Amino acid sequence: MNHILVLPEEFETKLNEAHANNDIHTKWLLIGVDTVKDMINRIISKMNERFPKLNITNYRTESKDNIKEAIGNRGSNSIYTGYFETEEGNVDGLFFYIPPSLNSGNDFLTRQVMPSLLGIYEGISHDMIDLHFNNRPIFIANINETNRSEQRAVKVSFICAELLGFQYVDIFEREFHDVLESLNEEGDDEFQISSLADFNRLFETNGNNELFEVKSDEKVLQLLSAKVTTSKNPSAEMYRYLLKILPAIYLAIEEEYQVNVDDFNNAHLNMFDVIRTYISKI
Amino acid sequence: MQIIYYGAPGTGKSYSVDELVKATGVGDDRIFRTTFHPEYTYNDFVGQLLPKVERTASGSTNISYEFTKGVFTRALEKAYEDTAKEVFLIIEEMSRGECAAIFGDIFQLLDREFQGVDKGFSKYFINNDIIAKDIIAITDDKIKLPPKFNILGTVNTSDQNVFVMDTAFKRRFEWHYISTKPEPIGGAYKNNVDIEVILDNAGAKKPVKWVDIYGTLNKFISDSRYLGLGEDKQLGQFFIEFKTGGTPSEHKNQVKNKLLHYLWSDIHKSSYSTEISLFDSSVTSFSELYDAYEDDKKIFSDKFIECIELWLRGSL
Repeated sequence: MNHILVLPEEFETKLNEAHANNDIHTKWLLIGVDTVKDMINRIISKMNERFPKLNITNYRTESKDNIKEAIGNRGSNSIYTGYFETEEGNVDGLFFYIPPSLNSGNDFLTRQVMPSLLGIYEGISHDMIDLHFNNRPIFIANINETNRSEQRAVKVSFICAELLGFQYVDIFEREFHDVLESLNEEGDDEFQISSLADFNRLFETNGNNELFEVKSDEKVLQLLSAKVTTSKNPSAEMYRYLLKILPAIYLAIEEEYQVNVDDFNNAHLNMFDVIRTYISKI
Repeated sequence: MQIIYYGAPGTGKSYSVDELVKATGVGDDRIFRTTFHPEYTYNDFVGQLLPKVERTASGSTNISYEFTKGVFTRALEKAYEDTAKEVFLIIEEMSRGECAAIFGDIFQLLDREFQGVDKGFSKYFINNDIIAKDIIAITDDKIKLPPKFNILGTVNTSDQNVFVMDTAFKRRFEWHYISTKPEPIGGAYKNNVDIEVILDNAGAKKPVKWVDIYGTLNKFISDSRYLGLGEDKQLGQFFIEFKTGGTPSEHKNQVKNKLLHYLWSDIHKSSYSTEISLFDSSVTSFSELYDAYEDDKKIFSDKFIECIELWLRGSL
């Protein structure tokens, strides 16, 4: 089935700005991309190559308001969210991009993907039977040329996205699975995170994980809220937090753990309610 | 949900399906409806490769083969577009097709997960790259039914020459019995017109409500004191849908053309009783029955007419 890639109008603006920046343009040229049109074609060809079922034949831009409406996002609109449109004009999947020149590793993925996902989940939480947080497949293209993609924290966020079933393409073909090497104690050729214990180790520093606590004896995953509540910008921190705790919850459910959210009781942020609603469905 | 509604003909099985679907508020674009029949195959249900003839610019003919999606595949694609929304695949007359052959490998998908992140999805996948071809949510060829992919079926318990469903297939559905009891309970019944019953050979008539006639018929058909044929042969309230505002003559024609043949071939001819008959002893063939009814002659046996009286008194 053919698809049209529907992009927010701001997408082209971001690419035009990047193209006008000599440093960024130089990096584009290194991968054989010269113009903005070239970059869009590269994104489409990369997506089609990695995910042949997408069969993207063209793209068009839409206002972020129209996109918000089409994907059923009840939260704030996003300049990083698009979708795949079928020949019948239906939304078949969501598209997100990590923009050029973004230089905050903390905001990779979280700022582009999670606000829209939360906004959509608010509208569908009561309708979903399964415990996935997304109702449509998610595809993410990283067109950020900075070296932030090489940072451990950013690679960990890509691992989180992968565990959530999100499909990811890096236009600059940078690898991120190497971040798992420190967990691969037995030297497996294709090590993957397959348990809550593995995932926990990804976030542990000196035996402590400030996001969640895995009580394996009691089979309880205790979610911790302090990282968000003590932040100067709790909303932004919440998006970062969500990307990291959701895979933990998925793994906990599969391992038949209880998910404890008592620590949220004193957290007065609406977004905690969305997580509570989600947890209540387990 | 995977539900099969079953019951006697005319009980409102399709109506019950429609009511359930309507209550969800789902639009027509998310409802897929098909009817099984003896020639219905897996290819009709899932899809098949069909030749496509195209003329080239030079005037020559090109034949290619394209997968033409069946109703199951189209419904599945729709369900995967947004897994928060309901999709209904409605299969009418399931027992008139060979379910095991029609469902084929899809059968394996009917078991659902009751817990876990994948709650509601099929418990087991099947590899089917043709079905998966256009579903972008499925990254490989492993097909599962998503949670809101609902299958609703109807089965007519009195049908003859139907295919038997195996137990393994049947147990993957909830079976909801649709009773022959008239609707609504405790109110003015729907579809309840007066039908004239000829009581004797002198031509004495009595108007009897349809609900009372079919109620008596059902008792007479199933009760071991009478024909004892079992509930399979009973009739539903909507076995005949009487024309709203129709004349007595039009209603009579509907009875003649829709009910008599069923009563003769499926009830009278199926009865083993030599002592108790639905029809008067003067009626020895269907053509005699048809003509007698047309000419306002007595067609029912005294025993059945006695049963009508008992029914009306509430003592049958």
